[in-house]
Amino acid sequence: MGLRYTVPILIGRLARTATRARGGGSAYPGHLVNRLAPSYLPSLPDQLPGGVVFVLGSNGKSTTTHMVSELLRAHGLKVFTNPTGANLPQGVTSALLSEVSLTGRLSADVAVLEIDEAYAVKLAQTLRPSIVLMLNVQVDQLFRFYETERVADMMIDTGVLAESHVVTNREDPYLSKVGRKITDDRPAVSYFGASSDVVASSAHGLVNAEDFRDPEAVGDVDAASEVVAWSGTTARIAIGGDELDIVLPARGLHYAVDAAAALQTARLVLESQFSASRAVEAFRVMRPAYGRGELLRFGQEDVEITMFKNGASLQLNLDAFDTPPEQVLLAIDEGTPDISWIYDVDFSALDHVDVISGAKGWQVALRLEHAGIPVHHVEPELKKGIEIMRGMPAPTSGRKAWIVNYEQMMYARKLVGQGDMEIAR
Amino acid sequence: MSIDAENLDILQVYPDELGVTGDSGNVLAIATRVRRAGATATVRHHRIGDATPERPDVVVIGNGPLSAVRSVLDDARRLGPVLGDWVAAGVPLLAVGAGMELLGQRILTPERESIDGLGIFPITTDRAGSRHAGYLVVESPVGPIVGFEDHRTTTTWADGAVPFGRVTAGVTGTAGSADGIRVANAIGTRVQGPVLPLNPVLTDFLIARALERRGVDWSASSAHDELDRLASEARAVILANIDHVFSTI
Ligand SMILES: [Zn+2]
Repeated sequence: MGLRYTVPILIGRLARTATRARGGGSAYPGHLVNRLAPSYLPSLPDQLPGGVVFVLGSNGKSTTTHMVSELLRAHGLKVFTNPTGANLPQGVTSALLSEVSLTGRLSADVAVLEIDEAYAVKLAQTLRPSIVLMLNVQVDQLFRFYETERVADMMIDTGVLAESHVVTNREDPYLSKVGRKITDDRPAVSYFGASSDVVASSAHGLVNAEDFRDPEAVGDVDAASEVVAWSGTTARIAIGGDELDIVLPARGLHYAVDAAAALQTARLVLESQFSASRAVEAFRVMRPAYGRGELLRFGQEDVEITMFKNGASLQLNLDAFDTPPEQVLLAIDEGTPDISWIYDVDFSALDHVDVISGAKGWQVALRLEHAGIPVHHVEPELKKGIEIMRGMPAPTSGRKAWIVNYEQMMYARKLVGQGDMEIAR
Repeated sequence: MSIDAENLDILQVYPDELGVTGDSGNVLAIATRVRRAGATATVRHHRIGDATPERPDVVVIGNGPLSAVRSVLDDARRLGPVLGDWVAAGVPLLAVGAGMELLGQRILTPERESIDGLGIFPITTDRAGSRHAGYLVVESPVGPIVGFEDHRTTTTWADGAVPFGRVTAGVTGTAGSADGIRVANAIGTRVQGPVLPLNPVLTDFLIARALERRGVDWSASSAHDELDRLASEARAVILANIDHVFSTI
């Protein structure tokens, strides 16, 4: 730390003010600081007595990062974290710019960071995480990485760089095998998971990618943190000899598994300071992460926003509906390049869709026609689609459900005047 | 002869391994069209270790990563001669992406290893080419085919081999080159999306070839209007966005 960082930080902040004035956040200020002061980001871990935690995964990174942060805060720790999607090196530095002093000092005990897989190894070398949490590998990132193995290897190669612990998913065919790549006694491997009964109770299980390269399973290992019961927005999680009854921030088995992962990670950070009752209370008051089962006030009514990135997360979110939602908007646009996978998704949790929006709306309508699910309106223009939804009376039970991809969620928020969140991608 | 007493028997090969790009959608498109015409369709799957299947009316093989191709290889070598006989006999077959590569003569891996394919399609494929990801249009004798491609495979055709068609639009760098392969009524292509729901003309081609073997004529009717309308709208948006460059990171 010191004065040598003051000028780069000032320049970065100026850049941030400028990009914000132009409307919308950006990763550019972080990129600028990383260029001007390349030793700045690597100085971060030394300032954090609780170390750095990385959260990796095809699905659930933002939710779980949020959960770990809230759990640690509930135990009195000051947590630095990056906002949703700000998971590239420049995004992390951009997030830092709003928190650090002019000398670059960060007043926090621990950093909990969601990290993009493609940059994870490089960032692990820079930020030397003490704990790496690996959530899952799902067949969702084919478009970005082409082969599922590449994503798995990026995560595993990062996990082994953890200084003390790697926390991994026992139910993930790829990530459960991280221990096979660790030759020393560090990092220690611990698992989270869900009991076989719980997995079986979900219509399509956990939708993790199959490992065709190495079909041999990791075998019967104990999970340090395990979902032993789940129903909608509640879960019972066995951890450290206790069974915790948790309220999830949104509906779905995937959120229960994320909670199990977050609990184990928080427990490793907190060691003997971990308190089961504080953890339960933290979950009780936790708000959903941005766009994950979040309620959005829209005129006179609440809308429940469910964001999906891919087939796996769409399936898990659909499976989480107890009964078909009365009013549904489904929107997907060019932000999701290849949607061939819509034919692998079982849409039978829906008995109809009121409005399909987005540039890929007609493709989705065609898919639902093949599934025999009635679609009332196809309106590629999201703005008009929202108007149709708005013109409908309030549902007799539940809320209007908007099931949207990331880009359509951002656009929808903007349209309803809630596009204020900085996203540095 | 009328269609309504008929049952179309569809075989999907390696649905778990070679099925990552919505390939079950190709099966569903065939079955749905046949059913809307008043006939029935049955879908069978061939998985690793299954007994050699009876000859179906139509065969569908999908797409997957190289590791998936490797994982099915032993079983596929056992199935290869049977598949080859069916193709020679005129059974319609659709193979997309890695499924097409598996049916080729040879696959070159990015590590420069050579894997022998089943030798049904007279092509060799090299998976170390440059990345092509985006919308495309393939002009084929069956009709114009619209969809999405995502691969880094370079195809080489043996002497006398007949490509499925020619890429006429798209921004992924394949425009102007040939796509896929055609042997009798077997078609290999890179087009996903998946290709059949989006392109009823190709679905109808496969169904017609299957039914003509029984002396049954096939053509789309008003029962297919809604499927055709939605497919046509979807293709129109794709054509309008054909120049869309998708960044891969
Ligand atoms: Zn309506």
